[in-house]
Amino acid sequence: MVVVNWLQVLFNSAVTGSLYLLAAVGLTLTYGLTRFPNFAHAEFMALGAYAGYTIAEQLKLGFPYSFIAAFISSAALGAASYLLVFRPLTHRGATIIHLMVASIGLDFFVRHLIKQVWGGEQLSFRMVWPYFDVGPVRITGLWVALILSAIVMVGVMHIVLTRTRLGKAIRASANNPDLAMASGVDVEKIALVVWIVGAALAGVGGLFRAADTRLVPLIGWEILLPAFAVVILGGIGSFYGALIAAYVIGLAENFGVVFLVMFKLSTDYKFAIAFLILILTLILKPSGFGRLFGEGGKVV
Amino acid sequence: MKYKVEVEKVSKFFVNPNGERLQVLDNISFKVYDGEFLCFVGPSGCGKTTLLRIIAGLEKPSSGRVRVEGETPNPKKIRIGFVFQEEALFPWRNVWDNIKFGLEVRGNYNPKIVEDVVRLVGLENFKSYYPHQLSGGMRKRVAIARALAVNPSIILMDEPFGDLDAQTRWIMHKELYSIHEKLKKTTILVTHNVEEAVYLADRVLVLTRRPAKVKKEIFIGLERPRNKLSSQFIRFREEIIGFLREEVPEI
Amino acid sequence: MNSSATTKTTAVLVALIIVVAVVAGVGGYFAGQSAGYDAGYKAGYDKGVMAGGAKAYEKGKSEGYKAGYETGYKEGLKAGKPKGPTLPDKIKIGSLMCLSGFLGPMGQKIKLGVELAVKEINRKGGIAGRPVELIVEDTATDPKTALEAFKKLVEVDGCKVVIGPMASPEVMAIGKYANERKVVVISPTATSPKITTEFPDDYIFRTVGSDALQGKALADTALKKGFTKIATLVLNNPYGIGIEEKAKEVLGDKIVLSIRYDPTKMDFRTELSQIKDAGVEAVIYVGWYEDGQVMFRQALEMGLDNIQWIAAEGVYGEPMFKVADAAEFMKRAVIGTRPIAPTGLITYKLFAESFKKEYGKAPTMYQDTAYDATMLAALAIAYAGQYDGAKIKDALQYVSQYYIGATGHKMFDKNGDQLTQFYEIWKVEKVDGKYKFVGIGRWP
Repeated sequence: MVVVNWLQVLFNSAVTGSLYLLAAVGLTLTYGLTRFPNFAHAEFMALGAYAGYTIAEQLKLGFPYSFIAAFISSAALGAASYLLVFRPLTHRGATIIHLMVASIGLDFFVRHLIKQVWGGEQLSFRMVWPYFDVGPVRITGLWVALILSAIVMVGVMHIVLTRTRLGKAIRASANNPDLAMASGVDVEKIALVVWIVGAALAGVGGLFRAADTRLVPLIGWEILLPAFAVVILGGIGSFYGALIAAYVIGLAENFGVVFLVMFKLSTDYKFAIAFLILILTLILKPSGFGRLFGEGGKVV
Repeated sequence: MKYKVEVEKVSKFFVNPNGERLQVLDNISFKVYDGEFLCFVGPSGCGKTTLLRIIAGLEKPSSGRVRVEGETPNPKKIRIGFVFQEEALFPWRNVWDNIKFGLEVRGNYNPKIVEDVVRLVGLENFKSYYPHQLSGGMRKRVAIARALAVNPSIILMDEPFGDLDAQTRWIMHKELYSIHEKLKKTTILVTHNVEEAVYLADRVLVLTRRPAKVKKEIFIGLERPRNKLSSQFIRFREEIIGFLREEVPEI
Repeated sequence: MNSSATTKTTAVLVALIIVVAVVAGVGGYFAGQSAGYDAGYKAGYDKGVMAGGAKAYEKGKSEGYKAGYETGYKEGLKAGKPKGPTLPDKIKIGSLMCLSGFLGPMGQKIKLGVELAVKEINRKGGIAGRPVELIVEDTATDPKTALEAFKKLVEVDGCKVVIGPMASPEVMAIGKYANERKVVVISPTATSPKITTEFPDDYIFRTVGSDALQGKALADTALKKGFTKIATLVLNNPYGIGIEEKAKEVLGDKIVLSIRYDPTKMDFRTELSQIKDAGVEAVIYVGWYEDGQVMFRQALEMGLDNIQWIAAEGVYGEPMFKVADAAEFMKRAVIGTRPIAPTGLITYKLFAESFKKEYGKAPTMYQDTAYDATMLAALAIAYAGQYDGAKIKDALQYVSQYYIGATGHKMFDKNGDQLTQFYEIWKVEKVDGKYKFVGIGRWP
């Protein structure tokens, strides 16, 4: 008989979902705004992780500083990617295919740059996090920090998107760049802001992933697939859709493990379960959860 | 004579995903008078939409020059009312909030302006409705009201009624006519519906197949409101269809 | 080629076999045989080892040099009959190693064992005077890449013998192609029993014992400690599943929970929650370094250091200590098994000395089996007398009967598996602030 501590599984889902959310927010907003899936987003995560590693492990400055380093370095990479690669390409009439291929190229370039600087060897954070039991649930400081970061990010984003002119313009631009532009929004300026913020959040996500597991140059690619699943499930360009989708996939993966073990199947399939949900949602609601908030574009 | 819009020798090329250069517009020149209602008709896919987007400043021409009120078009500086072909409302905003969006972005939201355009398009009772709760014709009205709210110097409409049924389209023609009579806004409307063009336009420009050139310029000198069944109306309509048939023999 | 030249070549071959055989201490085996195994060397060896014959075996080795030399010489002569076309001027030996990916850190080390053997062979004049050229390709710990790299070695370089690949899934991936193209494959590390069942009696050999044996070693270790409620947590690949199935066979319903996991996922919290909730006394664990580090770190965080973990050799190695949490967890909760050579072998000492001379450090796990695999390949080529896959395959079966290498007597059964394999039982200790592996017992 299999005994299951459902509360622990629920908490584990929150950890997984928070990570996916941080990884996917920038991806969905840039996808909506610049109208292409940016594969180099993987490296925004990787750079944040490596920059954080340098601060925490090589300079021994502690995790809060590596958090800031991840945020800033990835933000800078996001800005540079947009200003030096994608905006000039868009001005020259690049199509979605051109931009996508360029983003894959940029991804390779940045990844090898990272390999040059930090080496291809696996690295690990040595810091030991405190852990404690809350009732039947085991919790560590890292997981709490990850979930709190996601909550704070959601709170700030929500206020910005609903209360400020900038936020309203961001939401409009991610949903329908043409309409926003025709309405007088400086879409390119908004795009720059979104690329910076999205990349910074991805950097923070990458840092948490690295601290939770280990650091390899492919660390971003490992989360890119679930991040894309979140984007599609949430509806392209929809922040609120991504919010729901990230936790839905987090729940699916973790509860999936329980059921897979019950049925004596490999937990490899937990991702298959997440994708099953994705496919079903796309059949029933093609524009994803974003639809619930009147957001989300169709898959191009 | 003061021109509202000047288009000089505009060409546009695209590069498709196979790397081939595709010419869409070929050396197009024309001018639009202040307060004029101008219609473009042309075969499907000839580049009408691209031309409109260039005038709006949403895209840049590959060569040539566009002036709106003597300046290079830029939606941030020059107020342009753009009515898109497809659904173009923010679904999470209700009718009122959609109409006010352009004002909000520019930081000069004034409820009175919104109230006026809402009344103009007859949406007084639907202010708090969300787009998905409205019929196709209603949504078009919201889109037109949204375009008008910013007090635009020109209104650009890209096949605005293409997705409506014949009856609703007929009603919308009448309404658009009366709005134009009231406000006298310079309007450029792109369509493949010849009847629509003859009913609404002061002047019709017929475009060739891609790459598009101006094939023919026709002034519709008919009294308004026009009667779609009158013999002159039908003569204009057949004349334009004749020009189009030269481009696309299947018509 | 006239007959006198052929005879000459044969003589050289024979000499080579003798040299290598003596260096490898063939004598040990034969002495052991004469010291008490009377039912033919094969049966005797089996029986002897299984019945604690290792002792006799060790005793035999000191006396056995002379006898071994003589027997080896005789066997060499018998084997050295003319064989028609001779060897090419340069003899290529291919090698597939995981130089990157999950097993990358391990593969970089194991490669040294192969290279050492090739250097030694070339220093002694190569195979029948022909130098050996080693061509190493990276499999990136990926079966598809392994197959591509294997095709390159076979079709582009024309290799008929390949040392590697390392991971069981990689061996499974290239097995069919190797058989079709008649290329001898000797893996020094692939331990899945599935390799035996999928590719019996063919071109696939290995110089490490099948996990059918390690699964038994792990299960016996759990039994000996008196555990009655046990979970298995294994990689979802032939390596992990092979051990899991064998352990289940031995332990039956003492295994109350079985989890097969995806090593690329790196988020094992819910798998570990399951183990925690099942209330087991021990976990039989099969993982690799990279996922193992994360698994142990998360296991420590989940508080799973209060039960006994019994791990296979995939997590044996210094790289595990790079993650402080993982090292601490191993110290607190993990013991394990790993294949080793019988203790006190003079052949292992010879290998270790040579290794130290070459690289300035002591050899670690699987460098010895890689060395033996390469030596066996060279011997088989020499014995076959021609660079032909089918001939080398038969020769390999034959010479393995007489080869005692760094890891002991390397005789293959008809499936190309090792007849027997010893395992060390290890744990992790912290001495002067440094973690290290310590042997605490042996199996069988």
